[in-house]
Amino acid sequence: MRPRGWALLPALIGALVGCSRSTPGSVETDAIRLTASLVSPVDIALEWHAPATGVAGHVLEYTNRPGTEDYVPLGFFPPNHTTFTHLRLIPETEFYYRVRPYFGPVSNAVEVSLPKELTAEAYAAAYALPEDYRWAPPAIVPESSNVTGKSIRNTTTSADAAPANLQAELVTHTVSGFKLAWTDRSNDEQGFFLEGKREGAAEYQVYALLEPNINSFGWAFEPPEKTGSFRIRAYYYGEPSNVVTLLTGKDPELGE
Amino acid sequence: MSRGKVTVVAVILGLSATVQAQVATGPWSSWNPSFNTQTAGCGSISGSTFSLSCSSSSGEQRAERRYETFSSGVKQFQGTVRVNSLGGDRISLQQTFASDAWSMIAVKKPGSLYQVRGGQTLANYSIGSSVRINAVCYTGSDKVVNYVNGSLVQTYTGGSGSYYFKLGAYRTDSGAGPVSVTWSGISFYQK
Repeated sequence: MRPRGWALLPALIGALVGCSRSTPGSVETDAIRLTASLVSPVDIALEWHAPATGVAGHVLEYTNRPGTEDYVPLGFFPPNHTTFTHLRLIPETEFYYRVRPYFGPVSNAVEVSLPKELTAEAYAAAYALPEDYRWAPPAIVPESSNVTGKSIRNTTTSADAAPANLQAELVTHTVSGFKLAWTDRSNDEQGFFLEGKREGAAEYQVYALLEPNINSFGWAFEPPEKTGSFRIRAYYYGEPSNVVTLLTGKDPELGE
Repeated sequence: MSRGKVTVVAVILGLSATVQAQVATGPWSSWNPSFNTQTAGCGSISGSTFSLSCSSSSGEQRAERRYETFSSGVKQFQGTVRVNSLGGDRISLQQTFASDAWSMIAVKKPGSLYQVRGGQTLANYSIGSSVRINAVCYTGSDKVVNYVNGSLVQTYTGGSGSYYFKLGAYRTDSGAGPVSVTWSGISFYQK
């Protein structure tokens, strides 16, 4: 791990490379407020305050050129996780950040596990070999019965619009691949998140982003993981926070 | 083994203009290298989407852009890639070539980016999301500094001679398709 002595110099660094700037985001009273500070010349600490209720989580995004390139996600976080440190950044570069909330109902959770008789050695050896995962890409499989989609953005219909009947099946010609299938009951989702929780973890994490109307997808455990939980969320994004901007300094370890 | 076909699709003269929004210690000017497209085996390219349609774990399977060779100065690649689907494993997305395959940033299941040579994990990755890669190649010191989502993930040394950048989808020696990836925001700079 690299030395963290720079953490003692934020005020000096701010004076040297510039202070954070913030531009307004949503004017709603429950708008997210994002702040950022340099904790070294090339490390930026971010914190957001999100007073809105009913939020499923937040996505923190960045760009270096907001006018000409898209924001890309740095992470998806549960509602009670409101900090992130962006480490070892490109030197002498402006970083722009924003946070967006996401909303939407989740499916039932399914608990899965690999066979108990699978040894760690056999698992690792099998995983290292190429496996046929042609069944795994996201797909839209016709439903066996008609499903009328409901809105996930309307509080009166959101619960009934949650993905349902999530099932996970270990695909036998793989060592750790699970085929996931569910019923899409929503009509206005921006997409689906595959969320997973590892054994002993307190929170679900976003594992994958799927396009609207998808109802089949494959996911593989990676050794040594043998048990876990999956669920599917139909999601949509809310209004972004204010945008904060910081200029990084020279990288003391890069020498360029 | 399938034989690759090379199609020249663009030859753009390099134009020099100072870049307003600098990424990395500059000053940088814009650079517009020409590129060829390279497909082999089950690889195909549609616009900026690069696909391998088969699950073959042997032979040459590629769908890539190969940018022009350079041998002096400092060159920077930037691009954003989204893995739309990964029905295979261990697919190279972006390369900095020296005299041979050198720095190769690849994706593997269930969701991470790694350096093919040496196997170092570079970043976690959620399939379906966008991730930005910056690669700064210093020909004078024969190294490339790789950034993922703005963070330095690896300084890769040991290059020599002339260099070029590649992007797309390429089956690594231990990998297999199918895969579909889309690149956007591709830009180059030099100093």
